[in-house]
Amino acid sequence: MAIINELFNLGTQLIMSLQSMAIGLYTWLLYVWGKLPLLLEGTLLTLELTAIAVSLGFIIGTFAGIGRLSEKRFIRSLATIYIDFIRGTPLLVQILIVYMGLPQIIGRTVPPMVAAIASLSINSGAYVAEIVRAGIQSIDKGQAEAARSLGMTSNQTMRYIVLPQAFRRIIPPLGNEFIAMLKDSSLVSVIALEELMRKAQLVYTRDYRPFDILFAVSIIYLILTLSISRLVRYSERRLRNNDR
Amino acid sequence: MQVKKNLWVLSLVVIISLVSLAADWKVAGDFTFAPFTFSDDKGNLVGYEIDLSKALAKELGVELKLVNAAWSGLIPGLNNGNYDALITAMTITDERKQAVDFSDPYIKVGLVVMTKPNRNDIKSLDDLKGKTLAVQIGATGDLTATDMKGVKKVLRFETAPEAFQAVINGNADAAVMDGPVGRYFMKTTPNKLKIAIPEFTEELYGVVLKKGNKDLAKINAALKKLKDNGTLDSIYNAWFAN
Repeated sequence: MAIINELFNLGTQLIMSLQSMAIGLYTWLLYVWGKLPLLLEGTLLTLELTAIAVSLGFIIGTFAGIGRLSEKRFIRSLATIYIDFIRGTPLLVQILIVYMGLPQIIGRTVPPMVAAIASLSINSGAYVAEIVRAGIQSIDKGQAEAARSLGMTSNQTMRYIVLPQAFRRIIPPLGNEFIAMLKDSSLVSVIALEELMRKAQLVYTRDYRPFDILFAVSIIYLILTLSISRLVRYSERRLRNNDR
Repeated sequence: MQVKKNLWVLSLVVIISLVSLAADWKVAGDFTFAPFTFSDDKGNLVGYEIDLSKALAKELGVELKLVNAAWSGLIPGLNNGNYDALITAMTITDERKQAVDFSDPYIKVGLVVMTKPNRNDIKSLDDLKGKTLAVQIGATGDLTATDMKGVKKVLRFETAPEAFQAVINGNADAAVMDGPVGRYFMKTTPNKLKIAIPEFTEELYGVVLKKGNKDLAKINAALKKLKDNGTLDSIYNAWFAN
């Protein structure tokens, strides 16, 4: 009899705690709903920054990656210095150097947006360069040799034979880089750009409910990164089908 | 036998250190806010509020432990129980009172607007229309600038020096900042900025405590004693006398 009573009590407690959880969830949703326009504004800037930085970084990285494999020693060391320097220093430092240090050298103001895009894409370029280099090196030597023996110049070989195959292989690591950049872009909040993370700080420096808003922000980041990884997987599959 | 004795000594040490840890009064602040809370050339924490914290701790009979934290995380950290109090140039406002408790005020200051020395187009608050303002995120300068009508943009930085740098670099037209902080910056970094609009608000700083903290009455009594015996005045004069 006592056991049944105990079980009954446990059951009521469970229902009550579920109830309070539901109320908590409801008030949280209501709270986040109110802040959503602000957060979406920040999300848009985050996406914008990431997309531009990754695209520019891809162009920079392709050249730097090919440069690292160049037969000319000068170009090779230039690319190596760039990659080593960028990968060897924190992104936060790079952002602050471009934003606060550069104006003192060039004597001109660097707007926050320009500083952010410049530092993010230069940073991304260094990582993409290594991805591209690895991609090129993964292509069988026979491919290049065959192209050369067909009379292609080394330039043509790179453009028409090696790079197209390499790009297909580097899609997964490029997707990683995209996701990493999406998260790293939150660092530009230090130069007063109000991307997603900064919007969250803006909210909780006014109402002092950090957990509620940070939880919402992490869900937004999660949605973004999951969509990107799905997109990468999809394009990977499509390109593989083209292969046949 | 020897081992047992050692164990006794060890546990005594642990207990004593635990007790002394509990007696620590953890006061947090944003230590980039000269002349209130900052570090000198040697890395020692100095400033008006550091001296005040030390005097308060002595009066309360507790061991002071200062913690440097980012401005935007101060109140959340206090409410999480990471710190016992904040003594960090925090203005007493109605919005903040909903989240924390304040002691009686210990100083009165005001916000100023600062520009580059060669600018003459900003003389009154009306002139801020269409301008970009630099502030510290969540500070009263931020709250005031955000409420101003017609302002083009508010650039919010984590620290006051970063906001000043944005004006010097030309990314912002003016900074909205607590007066003493602006004046101290001008003293230590001459010819970079000037005060375009002198104090246009009145703000009171108080010791910040978690809501319902029982120490509030004790701290208010200690503050009153420091005020009455002239300690508060002498600390003030040490930092703000011309």
